[in-house]
Amino acid sequence: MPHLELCIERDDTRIRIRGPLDLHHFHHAKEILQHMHGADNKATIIDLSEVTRLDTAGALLLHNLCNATKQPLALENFSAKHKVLFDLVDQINLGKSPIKKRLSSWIRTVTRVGKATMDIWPATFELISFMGLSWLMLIKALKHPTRFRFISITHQIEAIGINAVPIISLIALVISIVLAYQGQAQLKPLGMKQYTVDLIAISVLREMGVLLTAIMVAGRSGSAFTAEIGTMKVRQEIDALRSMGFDPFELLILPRLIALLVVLPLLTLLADIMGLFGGALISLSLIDMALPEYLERARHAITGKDFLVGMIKAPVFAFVIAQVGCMHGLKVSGSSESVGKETTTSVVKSIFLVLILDGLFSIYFQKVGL
Amino acid sequence: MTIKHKKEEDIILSVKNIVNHFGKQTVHKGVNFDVVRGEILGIVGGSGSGKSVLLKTMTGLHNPNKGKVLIDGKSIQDIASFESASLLGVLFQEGALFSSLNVEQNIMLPLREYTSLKEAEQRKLAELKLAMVGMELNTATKYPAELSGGMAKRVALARALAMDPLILFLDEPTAGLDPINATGFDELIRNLNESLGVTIVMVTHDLNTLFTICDRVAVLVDKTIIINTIPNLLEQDHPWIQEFFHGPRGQGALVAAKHYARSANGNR
Repeated sequence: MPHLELCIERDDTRIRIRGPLDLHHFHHAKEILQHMHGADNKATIIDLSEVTRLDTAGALLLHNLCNATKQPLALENFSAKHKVLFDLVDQINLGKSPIKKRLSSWIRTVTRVGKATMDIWPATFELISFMGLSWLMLIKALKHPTRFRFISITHQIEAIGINAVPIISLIALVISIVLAYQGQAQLKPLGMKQYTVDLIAISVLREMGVLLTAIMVAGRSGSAFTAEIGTMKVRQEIDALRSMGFDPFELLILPRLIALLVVLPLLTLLADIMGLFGGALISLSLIDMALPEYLERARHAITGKDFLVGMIKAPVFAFVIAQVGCMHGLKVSGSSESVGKETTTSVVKSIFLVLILDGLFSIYFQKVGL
Repeated sequence: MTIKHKKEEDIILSVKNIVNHFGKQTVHKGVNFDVVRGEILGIVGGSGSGKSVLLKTMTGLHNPNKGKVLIDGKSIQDIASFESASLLGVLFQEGALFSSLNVEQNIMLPLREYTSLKEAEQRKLAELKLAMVGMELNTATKYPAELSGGMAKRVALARALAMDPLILFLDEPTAGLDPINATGFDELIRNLNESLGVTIVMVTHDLNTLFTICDRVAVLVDKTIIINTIPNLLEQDHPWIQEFFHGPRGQGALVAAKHYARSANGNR
C-alpha cells in the first residue's frame, strides 16, 4: 500500500507508533511490539499521537496489548477519532469462539462411512413411499382423465424424447459397431464369422439397446427433472402452486412420469434399430455379408422373445428414472448448492438402480426360460 | 460534517462525467459528483432511472461508455484485485453471501486471500466484525440458508467491512426489513460511520433512512444527478424532486425524522 510507512520506536518505557496501524501492517506491527514488550518488560506506555490510520485490526492489536496478563501497557495520546474505534473494539467481549474441535481424520472417515451406511435405510424407505404415492396419484388421475395435463405431457415428450433422438441413435450405432468389430475379430479366426450377427442381434435387443437408452435418459432427463423442480423449490414456485390450491405432484411430476413412460420404450425401439443397422455396416464391410443375407441370419438368430425381453424393461426403467429425478428435485432445500448436490445424487442413484434392476431381470428371465 | 470545504484530499470518491447507454437508450449523460471522506450519501431516483447501473459503475462492476470513477485518487478500473477489498466494500441487496461457506468463512474469505494473518487472528477479526454488526457469536458457524433476511444483511455488511474499507456501497440496505429492524440497521450504519470513519454511499428508497442518517442526497433525474443536503433539496422546484419529498410518504418521513431527532436530543 502506498501509505506512509509504519515506524515503531522505543525510548526507554515509551513505545511510539508512527504511520498507519492497519490490516496491512498488522503482522509487522505485532512482531515488533511483541519483541519490544517482551524483551525486558520495561515498556509501560504506547504513544499513539502520530498514528495516521487505525482500523479494526490495529485496534484489536492494541486491545490485546492492553489486556496482556503479564505487564499490560497503557495507551496515550489517542486522537478522538481513533479513541471511538478503540473503545468499540475494547467493549466487545469476544469470549470463547464457538468453534468445535476437529476430530482426527480417521475418526471422521469412520463416522462418515457409518453415517452413509445408516442413511441407506431411510433413503430406501423414502423412495419406496414416494413410488407408492406416485401409483396412487396415477390411479387417481386415471379415474379423472381430465386431470392429465396433455399440453404439459406433450411438451415433456418433446424435451425427453424427440430432442434425444439424434444422440441416442448415434450412441446405439457407435456401440454396436464397436461390439461387432470386436466380435468379428474374435470369431473370424475360428471360422465362425457369421456368428457375429447372432452376437450383435441378441445383445442389442436383449440388453444393450434398452440399457444404453436408460442410462442416457437418466443422465439427460433425470438430471433435468431434479434441477428444474429443485430450482422451482428454491424460488418458492412450489409453495406458490400449493398456495393457489394446485397439487405440485399432479402438475409437475405426473406429466414427467407419463411422458417418460411413453418415450423410453420408443427410444429403446430406435436404439434397437440403430444397433442392428450398426451390425449390418460391419457385416457388409468386414465379413463380406450382404444386407439380405445379414437380415436372414439375424431373423434366425433372434426370436420375438428377445425383443420382448428388452422392451419389457423399458417402462420399468422409465418409472425408476422419473421417480428418482422428481423425488430429489422435491428434496432440494434453500440454497443453490443443494440443487447441485441433489442432481448428482439423482443421476448416480437412477443409473445405479437401472443396472441393479437389469441384473435382477436377467436372473428372472433365465429362471422362467425367456 | 463540513461539506462546503472541499479540499482535494478530502474527496474519497469522484465520479467524473459518466455516460452510459445500452443500445439506443441513454441511462446517464454526464453524471458528475464528489463524495467527501466520512459522509453518508443517499442516492435516489425513480425506477429505471439508472441507480443500479450507477452503483455498478462506481464499484467497477460495469465499465461506463465514457467518463471515469476515482476512489481515493485511483481510477476504479486500475485498482488491483488485492487492493480493491481494502478500498471499497459492497453490500448487495440480497446479501449475496456465499451459500457454501458458513458465516465466519464468508467474512474471513478476503482476509484469508489477501493478508498473511494466522487463522486464529482472522477468526478473531471476523468475530469482531460480527459483533460490530450486532450479531451473536453463535451465528458464526451457521450457513446463509439458516439466516433470516435481516441477519443475512448484517452478516453481508460484516463481510463488506472485513478489510476495513475506506468506502462502503450499500444497495437498498433496508429493503425487505421490518420497521424495527430497518431502524436498527440505520442506527448501525450511522454508528459504523462514526466509529470506523468509513464513508457510505447508498442507493435507497427508504425516506426514513434518507432523512435520519444521510448527510447529503443525490437525486438521479433527467439522466443526470442533482446533489445537495436535504433542506436545500426541499427547496428545489424540479417536479420529480417536489413529488418525492413533498408527497405523503415524504412528508410523513420528514415529520418522523424531526420527531426522532428531538427525542434523541432529549435523551442525551
